[in-house]
Amino acid sequence: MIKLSSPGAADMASTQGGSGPSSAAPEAAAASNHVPPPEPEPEPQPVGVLGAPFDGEDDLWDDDGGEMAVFTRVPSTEIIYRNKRKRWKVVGRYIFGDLLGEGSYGKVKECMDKDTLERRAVKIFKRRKLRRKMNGEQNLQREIRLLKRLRHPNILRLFDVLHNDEKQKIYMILEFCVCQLKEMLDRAHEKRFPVWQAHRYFVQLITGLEYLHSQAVVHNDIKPANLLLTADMTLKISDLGTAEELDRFRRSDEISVSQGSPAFQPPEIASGSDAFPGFKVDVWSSGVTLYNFVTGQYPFEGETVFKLFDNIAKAEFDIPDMVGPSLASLLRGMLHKEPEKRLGIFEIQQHDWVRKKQPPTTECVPVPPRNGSECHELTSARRHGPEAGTPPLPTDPSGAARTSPVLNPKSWSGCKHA
Amino acid sequence: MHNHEMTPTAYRVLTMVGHCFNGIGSVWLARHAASGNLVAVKKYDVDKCSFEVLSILQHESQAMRQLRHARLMPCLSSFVSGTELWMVEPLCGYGSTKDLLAAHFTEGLPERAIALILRDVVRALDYLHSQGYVHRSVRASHILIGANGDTYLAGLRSSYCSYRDGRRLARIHQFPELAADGLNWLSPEILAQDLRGYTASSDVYSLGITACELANGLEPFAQMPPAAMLHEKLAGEGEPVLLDATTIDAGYAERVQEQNDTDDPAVHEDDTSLRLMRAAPGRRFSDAFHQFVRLCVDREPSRRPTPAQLLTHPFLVRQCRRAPPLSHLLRPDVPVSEATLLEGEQIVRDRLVTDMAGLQLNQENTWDF
Repeated sequence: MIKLSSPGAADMASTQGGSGPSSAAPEAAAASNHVPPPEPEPEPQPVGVLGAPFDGEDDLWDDDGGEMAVFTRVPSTEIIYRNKRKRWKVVGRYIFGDLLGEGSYGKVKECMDKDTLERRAVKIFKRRKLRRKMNGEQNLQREIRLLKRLRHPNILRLFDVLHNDEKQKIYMILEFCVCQLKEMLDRAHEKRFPVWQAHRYFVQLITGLEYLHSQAVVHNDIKPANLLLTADMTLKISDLGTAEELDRFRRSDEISVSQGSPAFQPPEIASGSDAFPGFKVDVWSSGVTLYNFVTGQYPFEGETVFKLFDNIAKAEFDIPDMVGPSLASLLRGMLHKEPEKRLGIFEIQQHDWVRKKQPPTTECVPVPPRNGSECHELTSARRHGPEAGTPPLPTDPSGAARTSPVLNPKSWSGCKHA
Repeated sequence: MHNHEMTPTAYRVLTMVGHCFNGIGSVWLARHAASGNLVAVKKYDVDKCSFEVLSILQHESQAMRQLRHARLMPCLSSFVSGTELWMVEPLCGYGSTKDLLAAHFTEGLPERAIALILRDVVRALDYLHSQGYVHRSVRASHILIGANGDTYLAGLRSSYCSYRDGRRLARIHQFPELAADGLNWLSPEILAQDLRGYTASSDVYSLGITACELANGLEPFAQMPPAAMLHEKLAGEGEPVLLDATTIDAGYAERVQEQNDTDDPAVHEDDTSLRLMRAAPGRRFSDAFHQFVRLCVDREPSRRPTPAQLLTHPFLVRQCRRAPPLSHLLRPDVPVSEATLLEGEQIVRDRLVTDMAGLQLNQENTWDF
């Protein structure tokens, strides 16, 4: 029997960037993976009497004002100015910003704590969509339970969970990350990282995994789309939706179900065994991930999931010549067919390639720009700033308001030199 | 320097003088038994502190013990006693410059005093930056003044050491934790939290805001919702300025008040800022001071001067030349010192005696519990 995740559950896998539908054939995955960039929302323009920004129709009713759609008769002359006036979106104490990605569960947006001004990401789940997927709600519950307990620099941190029963939404407030490693790879030359850069990420991945395993958690879905980077280039393992929490008092890490992405599954799953050591599943998929980092390819491919699993079960793969001998031996150790003979986390950490420092020699693959901003500028405050907490300034028809130094709430900074 | 023991019995705690760290800790006046010197003891109840708070306190005491500079607040001793963490520091008689603003200089300090204070702060910053530290919370409440006029920069708990794994980071991306009350002083690039990160020059921005705070009596962006403040800083609408005759004319406060009366109530200026606006036209800061602030609060981090460059700025050089001691400039404020304390103790004792004298025990009364 092949233990295969439902396409929906596999799709759950993608996090902040929201890309990465788990397709059987990696090339097909790469091809179909191109998420059209989210439409830039129209710039807020101070029009109308109140100077409120206009916004596109995008989630007009999506804000948390608890407003009901009330139909009122509006004279046609006023329509241009008055309709679609969107207030900035605030949920709890978070001001929402631009869209970061979309997945089958809902959206990922940038947000900001309005009291501490810390930049965060919010993953929005729609209950309706969750119910349509196999184990959707259970997976989310487990992910929340796990993330609340886990705290490590290489694990994406969960700060807050908000529920809106009326709108059937769940908001997860997470650490803000600038991109997925998958997005970087897709834009890189030959879709691969220079060895030193791959090393830098891989070491952090192993550190994060070591912590997860020490907490009796099997991630089950390690792949570049689930590895995120923060602004200071720290790697964060994300998406514990398919993770398995082991009983702390059990002796072995044996598990029987794995819902990961097919291309990253080990032979024991591909060949359909009933039970297999869980930690070694993560080692295998980290091996595939490292292979992908340095070669831009996948060790096992196939046009269909069936063919792919056939290839994985054989566990025969080539390592391109450009990979040095030390790295090749690590890859062979991590991609060993027998879970028992596969390297453990500790052995990986002791491996020469991992321990050797890799100074930056070639140019680094950069973080791709987001919505046209090279440096991933803050969006939540820029768009929503002046209204956040203070009403818009009354606009003086003569324009005197702009030049006179008065007009508060801005008095302290608003006054100019006489 | 005396050795400051790591036991609570070595200090005679006299009275509580205030709170610190958003009210998490309390500050006590104490006497070091061996030397007889007055010290300030900061106490934190470890049981009530969250994980984050504890790691910040740990960082603070480490930083204070690793760094040593005449203008930087030293930590004489720190230890845990029962459930309490004690941090012993020298007593600063005048308290913080924020206390000065609250007590006698509600409309701002005189320019000369500010120059003397800022010069010492700039020296401390110069040292901190040379050690790879970014202070990240330069503000009036973190500048302490001793009874003899010595200025110390404190508040190292939100500092960040840019040495990581033996390398010095070119740009820092970490956002200060638990710093919600200090957001007004933070530079736009720290608040932006984007890929560009920030450097030590963000301390110079905070210094500029602090200069405005000391001169105006209130920091720029005060009484603004944080998100609005952030928007202003990022959009660069109106730079923070010193309020004096050149920036505010005589009728300004009245016009604001008029506007208050007519406009909707949400735009109201409160009385504090109105009072400060009224005070502003009556004074005149030097052009050098204005320029000093403008340089510091430049939105472009690379255009801001370094602390070393600031030390040669005409504002500091001219104002500090042949300046009287700071304690003269701070009159009529009186520092807490041996003399005042004794006086205070005497008053308390006197009051106790008179109270006791007035107390008459009624023979007929029996103790009734």
